[in-house]
Amino acid sequence: MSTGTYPYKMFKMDVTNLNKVEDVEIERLRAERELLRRQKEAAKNSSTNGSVNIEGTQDSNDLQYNAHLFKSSNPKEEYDSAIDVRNDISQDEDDYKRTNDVNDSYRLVRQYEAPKELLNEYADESYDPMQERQSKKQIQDRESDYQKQRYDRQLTPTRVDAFQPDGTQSNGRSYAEVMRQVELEKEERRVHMELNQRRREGTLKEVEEEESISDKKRELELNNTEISQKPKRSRWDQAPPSVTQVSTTKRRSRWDKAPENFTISEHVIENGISEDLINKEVNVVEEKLRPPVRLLTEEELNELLPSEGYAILEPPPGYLESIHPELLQKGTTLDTYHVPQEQELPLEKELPAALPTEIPGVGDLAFFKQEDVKYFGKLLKVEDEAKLTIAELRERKILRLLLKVKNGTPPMRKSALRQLTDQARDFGAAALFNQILPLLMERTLEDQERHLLVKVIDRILYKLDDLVRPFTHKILVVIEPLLIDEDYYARAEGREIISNLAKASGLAHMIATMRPDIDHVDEYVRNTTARAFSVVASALGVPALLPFLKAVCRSKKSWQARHTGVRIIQQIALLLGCSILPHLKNLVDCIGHGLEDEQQKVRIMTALSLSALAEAATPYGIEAFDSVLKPLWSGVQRHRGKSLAAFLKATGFIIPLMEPEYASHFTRRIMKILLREFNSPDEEMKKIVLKVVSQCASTDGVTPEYLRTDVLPEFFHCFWSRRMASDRRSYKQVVETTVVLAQQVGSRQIVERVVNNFKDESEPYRKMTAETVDKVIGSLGVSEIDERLEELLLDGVLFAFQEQSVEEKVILTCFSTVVNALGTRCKPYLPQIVSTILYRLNNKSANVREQAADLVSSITIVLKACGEEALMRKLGVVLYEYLGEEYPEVLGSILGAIKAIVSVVGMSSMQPPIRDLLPRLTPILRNRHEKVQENTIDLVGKIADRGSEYVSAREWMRICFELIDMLKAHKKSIRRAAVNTFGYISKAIGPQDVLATLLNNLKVQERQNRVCTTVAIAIVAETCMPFTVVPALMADYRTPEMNVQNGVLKSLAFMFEYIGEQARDYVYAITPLLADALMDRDAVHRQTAASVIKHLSLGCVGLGVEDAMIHLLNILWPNILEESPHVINAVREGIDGIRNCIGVGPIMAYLVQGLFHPSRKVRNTYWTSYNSAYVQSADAMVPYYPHVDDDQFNNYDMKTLHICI
Amino acid sequence: MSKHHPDLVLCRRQPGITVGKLCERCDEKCPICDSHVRPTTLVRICDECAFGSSQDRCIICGAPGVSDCYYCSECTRMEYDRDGCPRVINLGSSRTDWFYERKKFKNAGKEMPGATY
Repeated sequence: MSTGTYPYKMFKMDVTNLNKVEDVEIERLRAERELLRRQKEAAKNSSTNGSVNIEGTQDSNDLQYNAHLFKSSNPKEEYDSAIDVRNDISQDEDDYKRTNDVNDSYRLVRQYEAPKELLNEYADESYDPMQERQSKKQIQDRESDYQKQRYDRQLTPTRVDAFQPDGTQSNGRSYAEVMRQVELEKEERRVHMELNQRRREGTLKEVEEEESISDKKRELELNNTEISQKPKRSRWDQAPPSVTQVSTTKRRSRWDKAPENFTISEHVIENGISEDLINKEVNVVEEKLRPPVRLLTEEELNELLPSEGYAILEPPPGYLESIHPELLQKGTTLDTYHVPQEQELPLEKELPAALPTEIPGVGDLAFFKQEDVKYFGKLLKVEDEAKLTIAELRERKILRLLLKVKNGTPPMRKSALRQLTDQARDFGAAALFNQILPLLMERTLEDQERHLLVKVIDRILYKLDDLVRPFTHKILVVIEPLLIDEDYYARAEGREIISNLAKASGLAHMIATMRPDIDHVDEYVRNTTARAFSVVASALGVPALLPFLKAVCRSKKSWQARHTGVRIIQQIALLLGCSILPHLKNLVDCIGHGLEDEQQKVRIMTALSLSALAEAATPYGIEAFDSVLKPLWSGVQRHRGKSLAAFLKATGFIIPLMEPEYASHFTRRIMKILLREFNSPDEEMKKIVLKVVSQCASTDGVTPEYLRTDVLPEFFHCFWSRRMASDRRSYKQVVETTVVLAQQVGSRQIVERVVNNFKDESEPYRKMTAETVDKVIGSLGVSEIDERLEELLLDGVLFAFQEQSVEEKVILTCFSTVVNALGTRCKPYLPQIVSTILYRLNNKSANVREQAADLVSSITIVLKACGEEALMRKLGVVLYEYLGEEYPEVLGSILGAIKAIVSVVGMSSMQPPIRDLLPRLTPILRNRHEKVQENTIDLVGKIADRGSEYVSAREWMRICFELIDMLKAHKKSIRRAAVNTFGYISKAIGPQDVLATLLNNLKVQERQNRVCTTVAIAIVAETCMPFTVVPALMADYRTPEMNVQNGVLKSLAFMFEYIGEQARDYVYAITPLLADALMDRDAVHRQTAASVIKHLSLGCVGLGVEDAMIHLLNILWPNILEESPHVINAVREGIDGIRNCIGVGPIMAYLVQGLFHPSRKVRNTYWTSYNSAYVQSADAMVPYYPHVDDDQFNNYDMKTLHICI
Repeated sequence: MSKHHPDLVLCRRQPGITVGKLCERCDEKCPICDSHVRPTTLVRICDECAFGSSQDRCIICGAPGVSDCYYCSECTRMEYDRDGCPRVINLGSSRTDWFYERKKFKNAGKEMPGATY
């Protein structure tokens, strides 16, 4: 019913009346509708144009009003679901339909059911709410079209390792073959381009095309290489080829062949991998899972559907039987379909959905995807392992391990990864890479899966070493795309792999492998290859690669090679940074001539490379650029557009390297061109101009006067606009350049020009202003700013602060910078600022409250400096009252503000008094939000440190109990603050009670909690002197519980680390305990004891406790053959510590025993210890070398020293 | 940091005159043993690590640096301060693993439980 029409009656009437009125209402609506329809019909009859106006009538007004009110929430409902075929549909008819729709939403009879939108919610069965999420997970979904080109690349066939030591050549393709194929590809591309060209011109005869293609085909087949023939675009003026024609062409499709029983890996060994191969494999495997697809016969339909009520329709005229004859053909080869029997049904139903969660021999996986079937399908089939060959068994094993790494749970993954690494050489490079690399080419791969597989490659690279050579190119094809990934982590990973690969296979082989890609037809391939080459250069050293680069950059054969060569050098500069300096001259010489190249692309790339080199070399190395200055300058004058931008960029980066007078000279000359380009509409050009301006302005040779008169007006005119503020990148660049200009011309010039923008209506523009002012005033201060400007500034900032629609940090930081910079000059404005803060602290929006509190914490120092302590106390009381805040972010900020006030005002004069404040904080300590935790613990720690006397000991103990929970916090800073607070509290109320609490806490299960407790104990020991703690600790060590004993040892370790030289007094007391711990069966026990010894001994160097140390060494030494990595590390460190304490001599006596032991394992450990001793005190060891008698060859004389001893 | 993450690679080139920095998170840490106690010797890093993108960055994790870095007294005593530039030059597997693990959670629209790195 229309509440719009009868709002008052609705409220007054009782239920019976309501029903009556409802009926009346329905009746009225029906009448209206009838009337409307009649009008419509009349109108239609009188004029087909439909110009009759019914809008003025009372009814239509009413209806429109209703339509306005009852506009459905879902706009889609109003859309036509189909396109009307009649063209002459009139406007009013349309209107009529709409009003009718509206009327449908009235209840004609009283009925109660769920609303329409809820009923239709799941009507669209194909809609999958998880679809969006699902698709975002995969790498390919965030890749640009350019990055997706990686799927077009092939894992090329295995190559020959020309550097094999024994000289035998394994079967694979040689360098010559690869080069030949690249030539062919290039030629093919050329022919295609020419064909297209001629087609456009219309000079092409079709016969020619056929011939040339078939010629090429023959040629290719002769060479026994495979190049995927790209389908030609059909010509628009030709009829599409008929089906029969298609079948007669001689295209060699894999689909024509009968499916063979082969695996991906076998195929890869021979031919490399391409997309359709994978698809084929899917087909082979999936066919077994998928129920056969086939058309139903009439009998089957009869069985499925009731025989009555259905009629067989004649196919409409012109209907073609099927557009996919081959599909039908395939279907008929399958077994005939029969309607499933009753007992078979459930099984049938389950089949398509059944993806195994448990693979035989692998166990429970975290997940298993449809796409995994095509790679790991073999594992799904249960076969008798006894019948398989060794190679097959190995393959299955690798597959299993890979599957565990890719899809397994973390512990599974770890052990599988270790197994793969350990047995890498047994498996062999071929077997491993033939499984891993196709997996990495999979389209549906997710980030983490790729990461894990890349990790596998990384690990096995180490092990395989030069065995990877035949696979270098394949690995590169897979890894190179990582270098242009958007994730920094992926890029770093890619670099690491390629540099390891380069180290494993050697420079010569890397060059031989990548050389064919340098002038590849595809720009994508060249780009990634250049990046990979730069990684190789950084791994193997730039000088090694220089001769090659020189040759490439001077290539006469193709400009692509030159382009790539120059790009390699650009990438080297970006990657290596200032470590290119030693090679700068050579690198510049290498590419210098490219500035005058005939190809524009090469010229641009050369300019960009020079700018990268100059950027990396700043502020050194101008000598290296001498040779290119002239061509660069002439280029700047000659070029326009894109190449001018590149040349300007290069000049801009070289100018900061110059001597001041040259720089000034160049700046003046280039500025003319820059001023001209200020007005360029090109965004890219604008950014480069801004960058160059900032570079020119920051050189010494430029006078502020020049900038002020010639540059500033034009600069502000062109770049300080709302449009620049709306784009994120240009916004940043403008701010940066303005700040650089300010450093030359002074803050006043800039602030004066921008201060009015604070009141601009565009918010991004205000933010840009705020950021600029923040940076300018932050770096230059306010000394230049006079009273009037100061007033404008504060007024503007306050306005911008209050007018924020989205609260961001920019304006807040600007505000606090301005206020802090002005310092005492702020005093007149403070009441206004504080009242704004107080007002905003009360705001409805949480963000506004948070910002207000943040502002308080950033201006407290100024408040104090201005002597406004009364104001601060007032703020303190108000903030105290807001401690009941529910939003944790706001609460955290409020606590931060209170903390700032407390630390400025001091404990004694704090308002509210500390004794009221702290009990209020105790319950807040239980808050689980990190920001709240961090700020509370800081505040509590501050009070405990400086004002503990204002609070009773009992309250402190209560806080102690709360603090124990803080030790579980995820954030390290919270844990550290909590641990420090324990120290303050124990200082305030004495260590006994606190220590008891802490020692009790050693019994808990959670490791991190225990570790933090031990640290807290150590800190208590440090603040309250060790003698208050050590007896309790030693007594606690007698508890026959592993965790407690370990905890005690750990606290001792931390304690000795903290107390340093004081440890000397406790050495003899603690020695028996340590001796006991060192003889424990548990390795962790001994490990912790060893680290106690390390800290103890390093604390007592030169304090005369050598006897105790030697005693400990005797007990520690047998652990030197320990195998667990953590234990042996701790033991070695313990021995090193003792060595520092007692000198290297006695240790030598122990070491010599094992240095020449018959067992290699023993020798290894002894030599490791010997080495660390040698590093630190080689000279001191000489007197302790064992005396060896001379033999007939050598003379081991040490006589002088022997006399000394 | 290399104590708790043995796969981290340190630069180890000849140190220059630049003082190594630490970020807010790593503040007060010894770059060798992670100890927060008794910082003693100022850390010097090599020229390559002091220029370019790594300038003024934390030598342990690469975040913007805020304070100077010191070797602790124990590492000074053991002469670990003389082993060359201590800047970490790789990411380390725990950090990359963590990144991808977090990314997985992010893709699933959930917050990752546990510590932020």
